Amino acid sequence: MDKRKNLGKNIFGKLITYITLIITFSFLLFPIYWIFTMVFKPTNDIIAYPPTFSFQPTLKGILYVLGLEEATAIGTTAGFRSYFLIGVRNSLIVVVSSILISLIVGLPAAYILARYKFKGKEDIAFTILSFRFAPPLLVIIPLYLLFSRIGLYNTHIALIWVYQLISIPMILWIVRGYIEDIPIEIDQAGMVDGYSRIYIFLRLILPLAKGGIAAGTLLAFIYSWNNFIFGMVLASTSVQPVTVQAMRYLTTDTLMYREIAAICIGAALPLLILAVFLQRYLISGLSMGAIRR
Amino acid sequence: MPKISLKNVTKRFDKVVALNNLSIDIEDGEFFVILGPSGAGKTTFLKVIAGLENPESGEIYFNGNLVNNIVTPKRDVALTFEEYSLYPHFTVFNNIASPLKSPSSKVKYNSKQLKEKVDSVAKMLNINQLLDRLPSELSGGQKQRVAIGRALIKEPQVLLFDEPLAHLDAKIRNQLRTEFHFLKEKFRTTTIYTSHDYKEAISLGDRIMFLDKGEIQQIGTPEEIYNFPKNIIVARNVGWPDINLFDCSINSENNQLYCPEGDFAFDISGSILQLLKNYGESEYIIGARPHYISFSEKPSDVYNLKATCGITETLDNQLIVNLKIKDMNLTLSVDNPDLSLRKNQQLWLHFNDQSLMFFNKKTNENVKIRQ
Repeated sequence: MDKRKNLGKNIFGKLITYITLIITFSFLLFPIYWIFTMVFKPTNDIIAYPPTFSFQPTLKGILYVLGLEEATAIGTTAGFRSYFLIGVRNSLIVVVSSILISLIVGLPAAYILARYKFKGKEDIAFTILSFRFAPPLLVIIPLYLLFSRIGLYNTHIALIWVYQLISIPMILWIVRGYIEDIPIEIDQAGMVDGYSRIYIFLRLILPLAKGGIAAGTLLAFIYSWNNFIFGMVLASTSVQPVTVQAMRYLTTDTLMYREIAAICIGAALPLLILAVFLQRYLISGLSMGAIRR
Repeated sequence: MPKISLKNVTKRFDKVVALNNLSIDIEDGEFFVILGPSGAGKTTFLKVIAGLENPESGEIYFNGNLVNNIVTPKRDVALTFEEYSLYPHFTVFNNIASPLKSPSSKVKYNSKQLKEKVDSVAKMLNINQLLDRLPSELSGGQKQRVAIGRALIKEPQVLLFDEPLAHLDAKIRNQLRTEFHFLKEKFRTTTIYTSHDYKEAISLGDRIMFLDKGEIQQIGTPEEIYNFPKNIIVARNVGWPDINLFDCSINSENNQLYCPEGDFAFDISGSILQLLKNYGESEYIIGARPHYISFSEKPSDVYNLKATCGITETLDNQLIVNLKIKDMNLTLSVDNPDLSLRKNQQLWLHFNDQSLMFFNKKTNENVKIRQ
């Protein structure tokens, strides 16, 4: 009898859990669903009021965005160019290079901030973190002027450089937290065994901190990929990342909602896939290493 | 020439003094045990010798050479850590082989020689069937054996063991302690070994240093530490069951010592009385090892102190008796576990005054030692 009572309780509890989850998820996922349908909607249905759920699907938006069909409405800049693919290429160049540089710089820095004692250590660490919460608009005008002056405006290098503001703090703080969780005795055992600090860092600490490196890299990738403002101000079409390329379809004549939606979905897709497969690193990274596995 | 000398070494962590002005010589081939409660500075002592911690002041000498500025990888010491600190991503083989593969290794080995060396060490420690495993697949005792193997294979000038038996089950602990005797005989390497367990220290140590709050309380042979503790701190931490400590004052008229807590007095011999009188205090703290108090179930001239039996327990082939004289608690132990005593039974005690210790009430130091 007791068992049945428990069972009833469980079903009731589960029911509430699922209802809450369904409400939350529909709230969060509906905008994505709506944008996703926009990709296949004819223009009339997109701007229809009241909004319509039934429509005649079309692939025109995707064809335009991939440059397989001429998007006449863009006017002068029109042609068989895929702004989406140019954007993806630029995003990959900028994001991957900037993360590589951040790893090369950030991992040794994380080790030193985790293990060495020196004056002003916390100040340095905090200053680096503050790059994350300083508003980008604060620095973007001076940077624009600076880069124009030294000839870096509209180059990949400029964006890679500025993206360090995003990826270094991410990688450094998350990996530092992970390294601090590794007992210092591992380093000391290495020293007693006769190894140098560099060997200890490369062979003992890095392999043990790989969860943190994965988490930091993943988060840095997401934040860098999603960045909009740096690319918009510091570069033009040939260099701008995929997030900014959506603006190509905002013309003086029309707002090409369908194509914008297509680029948005295309830009978000890689991140969605990453997030699904690397969830556990994402969670541990977001909690700065406080939750493991 | 002593193998290792520390001269006035002081180490602080912020405001906590871990080692306070320590000076000690450790001889070549000696098995030197540092005994002390947790937080005494034992680990810091080892890490200072290994060069993992730099002292604020003082000098460290190996064979008469100052090593303060020599970094750990060049010091030719091996250290096992209290929590083993094996490399989690290396196999047992690679953990043990690690010191031989390092750039600081005295001899360069090819992979065949390396395998032979690791095999012989592993065989000696009974872990030769575990070489392919990862540390996470080992029990505590096995991990400690791997850590010991990693230290021994280096054949260093000095071996440092930090509480190697502290976290093991009683059975494994006894087993491994016996093996330490074997290793001690076989290698005769200068060894510094820390422990918080006096039995381990007494069993293994050529000499024992009792450390408390970063200060040396006593250095001596196991017998000296047990029978002539320099002060109450050492007396209390060495020996089990705990030493009985109670106040007393001299009554010179009838050559007796009076204990106010239990409201009783007992005779002492003239030589002890003379010793206490020469020392000059009128009140002392008596230390009586449970083993050195004898009792009888019937009163007599010798057994003339009445006590009431409390709880008894049998442990390690000893009968431990808790008893009371008025309100004063006493513990005594006898090597006769078959003896049956009833609770509240009357017992008659005798203090063997030659085995009693007397401590200065103000300074806590042992009166006999100062003579």
